[in-house]
Amino acid sequence: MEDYTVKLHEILCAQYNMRTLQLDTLRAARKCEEIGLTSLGTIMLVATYLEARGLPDAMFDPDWISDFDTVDGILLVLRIIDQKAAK
Amino acid sequence: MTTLGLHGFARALGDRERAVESIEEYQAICQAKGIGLGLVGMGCKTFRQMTAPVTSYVVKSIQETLMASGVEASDVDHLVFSTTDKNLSHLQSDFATRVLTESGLTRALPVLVTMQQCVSSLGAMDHARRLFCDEAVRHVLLVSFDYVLEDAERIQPFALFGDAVTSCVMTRGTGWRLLSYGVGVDFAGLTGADDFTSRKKVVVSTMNRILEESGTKIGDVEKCFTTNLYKPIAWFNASVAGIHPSKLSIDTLPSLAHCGNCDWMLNVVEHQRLHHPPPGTRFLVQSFAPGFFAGAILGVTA
Repeated sequence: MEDYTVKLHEILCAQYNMRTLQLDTLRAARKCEEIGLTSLGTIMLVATYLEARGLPDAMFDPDWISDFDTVDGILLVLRIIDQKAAK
Repeated sequence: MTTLGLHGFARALGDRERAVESIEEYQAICQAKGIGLGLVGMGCKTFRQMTAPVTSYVVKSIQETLMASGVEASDVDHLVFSTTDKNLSHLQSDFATRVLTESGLTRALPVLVTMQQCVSSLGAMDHARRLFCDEAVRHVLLVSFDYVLEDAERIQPFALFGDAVTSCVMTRGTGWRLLSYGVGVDFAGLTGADDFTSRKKVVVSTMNRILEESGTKIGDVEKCFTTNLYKPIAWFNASVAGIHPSKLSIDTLPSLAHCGNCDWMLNVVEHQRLHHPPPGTRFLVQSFAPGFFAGAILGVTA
């Protein structure tokens, strides 16, 4: 089973100027603000991921919003996007 | 109350066109503001800068609105300005007098609507419609303006700011009919303590009110003219409001960026240049600001 925390860590290091972010720190974090991920950063991350997965015109699902403030929530959204892309 | 409509949409842009890279220390500011992909990645290529006093652009936009609407300057009863809060401290004390004089608005009563940041122009529209409670009122001119003095302040975490003026006139029985209006405040947003959930709450509750008041279903909306925030944020906000990205009109974002409270009207002007919507078409206009959300439904009439 794919480790989405590793995936998120790679994205954050590559695209969000978070090269100093340690994987263990990400695993331990609960809120996005604990790792310095801003609201814009979260929206950008999800938008970029939708585009990378071939869904550039997809809507943000309003139901995701309650997940956007936590690291676990972001991981869940990435999984959902992958499931949508696989269909 | 009689049906009210908006017509004579016009704009006056900052005269100097600049590439986003022309902003001094562009890369460093983007990094500091957390815009890792740069402004081009956010959908912004150029912006406009005013090199003359704002009054000259305001007068130009008013002249275009009067010409496009066929309303005589001397027939305008009220002039409702709107701008974002930051401009209050550097507006000259004779600003209104100069605009009235240079535009020939000899009967118009001026007023300024502000304190709702980029939502102020829709607040001005709400104020304008209330002025028609006086049956003698025939035409209310709406003028929104926004500009930035310091280049470093143009790049913000949510948008790149440009300079522009937009205007239109509200008249009984003419133009795009104003079917509903709504505004909501998220107090947490005013103090920077908001989160995704609080923002969603104010957008959803205000949207429901706007749609219900006008008897509109979200699927009936042909286009949504909204705020030129960075493209991913605009898409995100649209999704929260139930708008599919294909219906989102932020066509002026790449060339004009975010011109404060002018954006929805800039996008209307752009749309009208290229399209002639048939009667019955319904449009949603929106404005987003930290702590505020406002919108209105406009209906095209014959």
